[in-house]
Amino acid sequence: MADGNGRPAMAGQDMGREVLLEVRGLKKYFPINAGILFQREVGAIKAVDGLDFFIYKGETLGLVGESGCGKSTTGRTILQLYRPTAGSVIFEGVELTTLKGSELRHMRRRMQMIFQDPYASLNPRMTVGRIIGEPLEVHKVARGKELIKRVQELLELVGLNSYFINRYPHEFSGGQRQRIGVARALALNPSFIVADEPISALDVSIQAQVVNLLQDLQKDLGLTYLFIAHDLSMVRHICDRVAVMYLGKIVELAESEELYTNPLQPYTQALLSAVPVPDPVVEKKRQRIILKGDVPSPANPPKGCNFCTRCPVAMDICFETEPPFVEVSPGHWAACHRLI
Amino acid sequence: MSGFLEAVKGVALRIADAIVRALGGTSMVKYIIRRVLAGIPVLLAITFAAFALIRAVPGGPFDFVGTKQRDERAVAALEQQFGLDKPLLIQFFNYVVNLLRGNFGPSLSRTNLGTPVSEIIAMKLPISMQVGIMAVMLGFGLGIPLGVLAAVYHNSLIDYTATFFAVLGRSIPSIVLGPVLILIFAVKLQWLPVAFWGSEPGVWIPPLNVLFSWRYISHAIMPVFTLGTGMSAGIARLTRASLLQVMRDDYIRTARAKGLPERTVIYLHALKNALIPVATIVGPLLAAVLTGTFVIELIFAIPGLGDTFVKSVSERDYNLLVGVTILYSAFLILGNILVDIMYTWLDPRIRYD
Amino acid sequence: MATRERAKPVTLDEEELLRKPRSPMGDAWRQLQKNKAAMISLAFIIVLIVMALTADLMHQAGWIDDYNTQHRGVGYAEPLTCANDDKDEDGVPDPVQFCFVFGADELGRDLLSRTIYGTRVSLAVGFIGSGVSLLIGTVYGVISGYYGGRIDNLMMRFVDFLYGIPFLPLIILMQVYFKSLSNAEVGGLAQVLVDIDNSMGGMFFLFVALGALSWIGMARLARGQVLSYKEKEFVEAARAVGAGDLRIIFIHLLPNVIGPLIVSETLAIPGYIFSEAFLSFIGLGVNPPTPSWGAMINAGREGIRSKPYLVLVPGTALALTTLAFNFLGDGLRDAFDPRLRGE
Repeated sequence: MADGNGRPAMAGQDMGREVLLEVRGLKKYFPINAGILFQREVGAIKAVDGLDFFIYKGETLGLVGESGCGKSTTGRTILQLYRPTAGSVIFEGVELTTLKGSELRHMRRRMQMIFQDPYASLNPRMTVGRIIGEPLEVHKVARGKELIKRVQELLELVGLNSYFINRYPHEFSGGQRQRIGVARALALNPSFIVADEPISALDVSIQAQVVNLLQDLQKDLGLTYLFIAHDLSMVRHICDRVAVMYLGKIVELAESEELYTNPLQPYTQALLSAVPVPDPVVEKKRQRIILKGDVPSPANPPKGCNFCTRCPVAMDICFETEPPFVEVSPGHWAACHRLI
Repeated sequence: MSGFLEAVKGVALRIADAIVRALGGTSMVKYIIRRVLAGIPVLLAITFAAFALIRAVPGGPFDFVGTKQRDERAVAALEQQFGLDKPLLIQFFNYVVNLLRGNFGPSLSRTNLGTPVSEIIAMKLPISMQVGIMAVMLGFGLGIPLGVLAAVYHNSLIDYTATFFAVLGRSIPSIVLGPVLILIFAVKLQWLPVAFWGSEPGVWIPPLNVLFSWRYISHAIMPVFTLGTGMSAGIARLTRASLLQVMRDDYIRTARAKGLPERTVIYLHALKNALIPVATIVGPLLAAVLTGTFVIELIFAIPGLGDTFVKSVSERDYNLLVGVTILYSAFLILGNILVDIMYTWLDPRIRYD
Repeated sequence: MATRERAKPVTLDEEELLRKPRSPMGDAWRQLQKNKAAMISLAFIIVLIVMALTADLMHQAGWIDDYNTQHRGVGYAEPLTCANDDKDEDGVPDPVQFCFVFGADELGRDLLSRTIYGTRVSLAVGFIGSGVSLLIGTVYGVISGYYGGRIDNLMMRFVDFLYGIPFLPLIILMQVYFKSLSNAEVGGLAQVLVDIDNSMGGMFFLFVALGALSWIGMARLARGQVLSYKEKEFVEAARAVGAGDLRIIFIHLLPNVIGPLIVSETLAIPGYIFSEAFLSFIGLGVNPPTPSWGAMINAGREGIRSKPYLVLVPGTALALTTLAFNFLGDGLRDAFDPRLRGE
């Protein structure tokens, strides 16, 4: 299937399914500046360093990795909250990276974000009504009574009482606040939502509620999610496919069940070996792979494979050349010299 | 001979190394040098502002010349003698050249005509310094105990009283407190002298027999108290807030949980860390001392630098006015650098590069 | 995926539903109301404002004198003495008496009336000084902090530059210069400014001098506040829905950063009032005969041995006013920032 720009589809795409978002060679470097009066660039943090993947319409793609691996930056760069250093993001057939001003603003109606911290993501000086209504106000979709009515609908949609419209964020619990954040993201009827660790700041007892809400909404509204998380068992539960990130790169991507039962890349194996299994027999046999050393600085990643400094099975070539990201079996990509 | 030189060089290098390390490493030394260099254009600009501003005011330093009416010829001769007849930029250039040689130029006032300004500053500055330093000592000596007391007996009558006095001390302007003190202690009770200062001009630290003489102390009490109370109020407030914050920290809870006596917890563990932010008040304090001595010297007729500055305004003593402005500006710039250095010493998380 | 019930809406009891919303501003106001010293101070400041605004009306009603009415032959009248008003100089004492509650100065001017009129200068300097500083400082700091990068770097270097200025000596020199203008014919725009200054009793240039030098601290504070908020997720969320820079600055950043700035300006008001009082004290503030507490204190200092009330009356007014602003500022700070309440 060709995208809107007439380019050939990325290898491995299921021709029977519609691709909503395609990311090619995406890079985001943050400059490191120095100097008192005249700043000059002395280096760059390579937060996202060349990503290639796509998301089918209506699916949930999980993006997992340690903190600092660049997964949040990926989400923000896709939404053009950070402008990418290189690469392209094609969403609903439109190249986003070259859009500016009102064109980009127009596309923002189709893609939204749910944030990690339900305390920091709501303006404490605005009422819930104004927070949820802001997207409508900015895009001049509704005003006055109509806007209030739409906000009340959204509140009900996320399971909050519409009486709350004049309350302030500090009057709500974490779970309720996250529901408000979800309502704001839904206000413009988007097709795609980046959920940036939407549950990791919540109490465990609340997490399931919010996840269930997200799943219900997906079913009812036909949403597509990029679900960023570090809780591997939760990701397995809700994601159709999962991508594993390490130091700004995707090292493995596959269907959830395939990835969890048959991890190919050593980093993925190590990561999954840390997940406890709710079966005493299996759990007893579970062997943890303990990684040595620290994650290298993204300002100065190693030559060759990014994971070579900690990989338990690294070979000479791993220190020299970067492994390609290849489709090992249908729908299962990985980047490792041992798989070639 | 060369062996001796080698030894001297070795010692010198070691001393230099120790200084660099004491300052926080080479990057810190580089930072300090850069900041000092960055201060030079500031000083130049302020010099020019003061220089041009005071010359733009009608009337000149030699208006007094002539008995009944201004003697134009004599004035012109004097202006030529002191270079005031030249264009502004030339005058400024000459002034800066002299300044680089450490020369603030001659005073243009009637009484001190021709006396080097640096000499006048050397006479007056020590007195201002004595007032300022004693006031700072009083500020800390009174402010820290008051702040600690308020924090330790938090939300009690002691706290409220201490806080109230701190606000009071901050609120009573010195131009009110000064005259009121004079009224009570000099006029009514006649315990203390009204004005002037108890040590000779030009002496930085008075000899002990002078320092502890009643003449010196009696002259110092009111001005130092007037200036010091305002500072102590600020210090008390900061100490209280800082100590209250620290006492809620986990390590204080740990110290309590270990069963240490409350006294040890507060004075050994909490106060040490609470005083770190208090130390950084030095910056604003420096500005307050510079401003404060101005006011205090006028109220108590103390012959210091501020008093001289204000008197020089009406005499249009250009060189003295500009000289004192430069001096105060240099104090401020160095003070700001000092504060930044202190921050890095006190809080290892801050780094300049 | 296992079958499960749909996510249930959060249920709450009726009382919770019908409770009134509590805005952060309302919370701060309630907190302030609990602070007695701050509330008394607020009331006192309101009284001062009313006095300043109605001084002329009170004069017209005959309650107080004009600030420059000189009663003849009663220079240095003691408090609680009365004089037959002989303003018209016809030699016949008027039947109407004028009583000096707080005495009179060397020219026979009623001290109470002058002190009440003096409120105008102190409050004007306090409010306009802090207002100008708040405005310039906030605009400067918000631009610097929001746009960041090279702009921020240059703007902050300029602020560092201004930090090296010794405030008092320079303001004295500036005032000497401005005062010299008021007696000269300068023409053009400068003349307009000079006329404004003269009509305001010499206050205009005082505002300029104070405002020009006092906004730098506010700019630093505003920038720091903006920096701490602009990376918050709610700002990112606004950007994600397509809000522009102006909307983010005015709707999201300003309402959050303005609280500490106002508190800091309230606490700075006594400083402006001090500065005016001190400049008037050395004769570089407002022009006589405009009454200023600082000028009155200075005038009274000469006679402090026998006429202490000449200093004490304006001095008390000055001290009480600064006290009130400090109590109010402290109260506002505690109300806006619950962390500082130390609970």
